[in-house]
Amino acid sequence: MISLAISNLQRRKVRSAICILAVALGITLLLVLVGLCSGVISESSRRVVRIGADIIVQPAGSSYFLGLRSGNLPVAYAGKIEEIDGVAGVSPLMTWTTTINNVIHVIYGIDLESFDRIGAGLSLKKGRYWTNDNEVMVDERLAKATGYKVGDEVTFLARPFTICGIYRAGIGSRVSMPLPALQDLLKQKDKASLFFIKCASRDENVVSTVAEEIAGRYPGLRPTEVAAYAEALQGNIDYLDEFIGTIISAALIISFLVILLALYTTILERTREIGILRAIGATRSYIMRSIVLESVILCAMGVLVGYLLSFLSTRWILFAHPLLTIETSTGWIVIAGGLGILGGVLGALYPALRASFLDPIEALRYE
Amino acid sequence: MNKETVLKAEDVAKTYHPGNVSVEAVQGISLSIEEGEHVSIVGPSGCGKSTLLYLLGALITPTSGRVIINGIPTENLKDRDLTGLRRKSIGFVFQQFNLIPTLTARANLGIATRLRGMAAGDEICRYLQLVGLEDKMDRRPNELSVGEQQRVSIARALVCNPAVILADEPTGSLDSKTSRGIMELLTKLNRENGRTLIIVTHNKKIAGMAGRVLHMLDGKIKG
Repeated sequence: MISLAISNLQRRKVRSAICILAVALGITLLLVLVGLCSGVISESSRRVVRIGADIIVQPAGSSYFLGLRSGNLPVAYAGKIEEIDGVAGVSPLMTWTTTINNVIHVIYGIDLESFDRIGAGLSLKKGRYWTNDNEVMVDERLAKATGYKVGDEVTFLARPFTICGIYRAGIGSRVSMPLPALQDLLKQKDKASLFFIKCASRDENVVSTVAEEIAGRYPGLRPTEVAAYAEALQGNIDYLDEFIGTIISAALIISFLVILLALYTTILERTREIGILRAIGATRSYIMRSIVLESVILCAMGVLVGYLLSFLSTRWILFAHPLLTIETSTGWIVIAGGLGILGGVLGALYPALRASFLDPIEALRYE
Repeated sequence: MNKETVLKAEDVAKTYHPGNVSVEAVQGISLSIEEGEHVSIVGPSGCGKSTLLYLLGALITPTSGRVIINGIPTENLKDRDLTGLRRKSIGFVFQQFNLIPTLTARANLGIATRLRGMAAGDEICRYLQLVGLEDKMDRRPNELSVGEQQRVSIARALVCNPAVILADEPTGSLDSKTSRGIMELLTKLNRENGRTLIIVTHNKKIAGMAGRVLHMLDGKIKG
């Protein structure tokens, strides 16, 4: 049966190639877009998580996307929160956004001393930490993507700064500056966007107790445990599930329609051959299975080509846009492959059923 | 020695309904064909010869009456069982050869053996040798002459060792020399191997080679 299916696919090489390509495009679309979505979200959350804090405290009702709100929390809260049992350190942070090479980036205004206390701090790779409010630091990825070097003069938020250091990528934002500098730029003296809290212990109970205590004492604040931040961030993106669902549906429908059309025309073209098979003793189920097998072979090849195209597309996107992150998990690779084949099998069912019910004599007379 | 009846038709009729009309292609035919017989069915075009052949081979089901193959009544068999019976008992040879164009001669026979669940590499070679194509086993139909294609078709019909060969105008697309070769092959298989052979033909000379000739007219056997 396999040799028959393969020989049939070889008979119309261009059509088979188009089918494979169409399935591959569906797979590529799915893997690259989902990889891009999850890459951007998980990279954002990972950079927050790697700061090393246990709790993020924001004004109640804030977005989990940092940088969408400047400062409206008095920095003085830091001292009050620090008094709560189980709190080992508090670091106020101002966030805002800026545009670098037409791409929006979040800027952190950091109090270096307290920031170091709540976690690993900014890990310096080149240059030095800032010593005055006219200096900024950027991370390695931004430096690589933009060509920024230590000593370069840059303008952020319409104000000139000197890059004094480059820190390891993957922690916090891509641009960090002294907290007073950002407060001054935004005319929000003594204000912060959020606080990072370090607890005395990473024990879940301790962290939860501290978070509950903050929420109880200060109803205007919303503490979020960092361990739950990624999920909270994802839940904050409206219609993400619907977006991914749409991509999945598109991939499935592409496979379904292409295979349906290809196999339907194949059946018309091979009507006589199906009659021959019936005459020499092929059962209806044999005919059905042979048609579905053709589809599975086509789709499996499409899936493999799709994996290759996804890999190449991802490389190309990351080359063209080095600050983007695309994360393709094994789970999504399996789902994409499964969807490609499922779409093909569903698309093959009608042509296969039709072929299996062809009258052998009518089929043999078919020209 | 009593010979067994391999095919039996009991008051078999077949009516087609192309559009709004009814065509009675076969009308109440009863006949028995014994093991090892060579029967020709002759008659003018449209008289129902091929329909009768396909009814006897269970490729189509009768509108009324019944067909018995190797003692098994076919009227109540499910498609799977009917296909199985056909696969086991009947080998078809068609005017247009009806080979799978993408497969080699060897693979065309291979499909037939695999459908029957036979692992028959040696048998395939033996039957292709029998029809004189031992050196062309790996050629596709378009790389063979029409006579060679018909030989592959005969080998395919034989390879599963069916009791009956049903041939529908097996020489209809061949020149006279090739026709003679094909008929010599079929009659040899009938005489030497004892295969039951039923041939539908227009050709009086080919019909005359049979032990029994059935003349059909307007869906009935006239003698």
